[in-house]
Amino acid sequence: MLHTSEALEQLISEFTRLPGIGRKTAQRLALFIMKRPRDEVVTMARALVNVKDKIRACSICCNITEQDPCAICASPKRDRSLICVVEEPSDVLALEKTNEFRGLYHVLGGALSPLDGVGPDELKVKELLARISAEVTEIILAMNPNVEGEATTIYLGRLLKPLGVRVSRIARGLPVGGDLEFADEATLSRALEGRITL
Amino acid sequence: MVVAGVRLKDFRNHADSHIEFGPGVTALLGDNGQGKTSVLEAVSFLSLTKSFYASADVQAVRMGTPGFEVDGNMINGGGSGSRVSVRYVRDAAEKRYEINGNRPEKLSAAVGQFPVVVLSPENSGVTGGGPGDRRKFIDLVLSQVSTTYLEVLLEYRRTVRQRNRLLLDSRLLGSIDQEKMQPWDESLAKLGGAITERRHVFLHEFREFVLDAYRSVAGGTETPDIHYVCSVFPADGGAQEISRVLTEQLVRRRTEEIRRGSTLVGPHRDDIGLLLNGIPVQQYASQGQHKTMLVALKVAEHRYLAEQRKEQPILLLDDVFSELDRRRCERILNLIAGLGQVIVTATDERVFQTSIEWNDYNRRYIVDRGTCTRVREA
Repeated sequence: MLHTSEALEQLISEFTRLPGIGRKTAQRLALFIMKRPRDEVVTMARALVNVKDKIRACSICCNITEQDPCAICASPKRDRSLICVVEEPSDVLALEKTNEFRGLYHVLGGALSPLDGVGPDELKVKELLARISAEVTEIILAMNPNVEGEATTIYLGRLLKPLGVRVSRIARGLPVGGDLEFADEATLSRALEGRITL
Repeated sequence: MVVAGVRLKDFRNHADSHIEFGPGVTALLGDNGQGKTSVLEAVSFLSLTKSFYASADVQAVRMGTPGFEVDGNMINGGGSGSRVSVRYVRDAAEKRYEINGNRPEKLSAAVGQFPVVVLSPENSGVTGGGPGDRRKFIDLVLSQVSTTYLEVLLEYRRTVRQRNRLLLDSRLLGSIDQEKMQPWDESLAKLGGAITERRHVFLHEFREFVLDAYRSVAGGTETPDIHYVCSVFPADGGAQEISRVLTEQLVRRRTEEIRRGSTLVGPHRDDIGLLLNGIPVQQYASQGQHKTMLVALKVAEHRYLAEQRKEQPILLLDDVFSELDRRRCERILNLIAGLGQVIVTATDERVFQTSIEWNDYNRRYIVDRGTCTRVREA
């Protein structure tokens, strides 16, 4: 059904582009916006545009940032000898929440997947290689535990090892706080596979 | 595991049928097209959430009705019961599967909770069809006893798809980037080695079950055998050795793989050899021998799963007696009489005469134009 206002109709059709938003939800959102005070709507619109205008890729780690280099790469408190390689910016957020990792990151922008047309050239691999220097002692590969993540880990391992840097991968296994008896078979066998010597 | 009773409402040609199964053999007797198989299908819906026939749910809805309902009471070896129901609405194309009134989060999570083993004419490909049918058979048995195997198998399939795309791209480009290929070769070899070893070890155990069941049906006049046929090398070296040989083979056949645009070595090209007196079944066996081998494989599956899972599956046998001589039918009945709950369709009651005694343990139902009537003993 078309509305009597062209502007409203346009807003609805813009909202329907968002993931998980159908026509009905888009209509609800648009009518909500229409009823808000003007300055509130302007703030929201500016926030949308700012996301495009102000955010760019960090020239060092390729993570999203407003200043280049990003806050992590620029921080004097970080350990520059460690680089943790991840697939997406959201992985950096997840790792930062641990407050454990004090090194730097490198965001690849995905994982190898020929089916999606993603090869090494589509990832920030060259940028990673350019960062290897005498200062860097270890590269930690933290890909997702799936087929594509595994292939990416193997690829990067092959590429990095000859450069004389220590290459490691994060362990796959049991969640903390979970009982052994409740773990699924697949997770348990991965944990067994990745056991470490005491 | 037993199914105590099942109710079929507007399911296939059943308007409203109710059947109380015995803990032993339940025979569904009747002419062709009367609705015998539909009762087995209903039990399949309760256990597997779908029919064992490759047909859409909507096809099970009785003509002229809005949808079907199947309800049943499943009782496990420990004696605790679960009410299971499946409702399908034609217009909404929606299926509701519930255990004790609760919908499982995913249908796949419910599959296997109430184990069944089905033998239907659909399975004839296992002995008569291509290697894919046979791989599917052992993959299904293995997946039911090991979720690790299922997970590795799914990862392997995905890896093959990714790798095939790379091979296809290379064919179009007319050149291959070895560096790009390498991680997929390594993943394929690692997962492939694990799958091959697991299948090999499994068949080694499973073989005894199959030989034993075959002899019970055929009566010792024929010598059956079953073994794993690895596409490129003997599979008895352990996962690491298999991975190593797979890697070599992948490199050796690179050019041919690019030309064909697909992965030519690995467990997705393997087969299971079924032999009778040293000769492959799929080529030279008679119809009756095919059927005997199929029955042996299914009985073996039933016993293997019962041993591994400490719970006897329900055995559903559809049209098992056709193509078999009287003595083999009798031996099958003697064999299945010791396998817990068995539900079997047949057109001729006489086949049961010498082997099964009808009582409250073993029951008969006449299925006629979508109605089921229990035959009471005099």
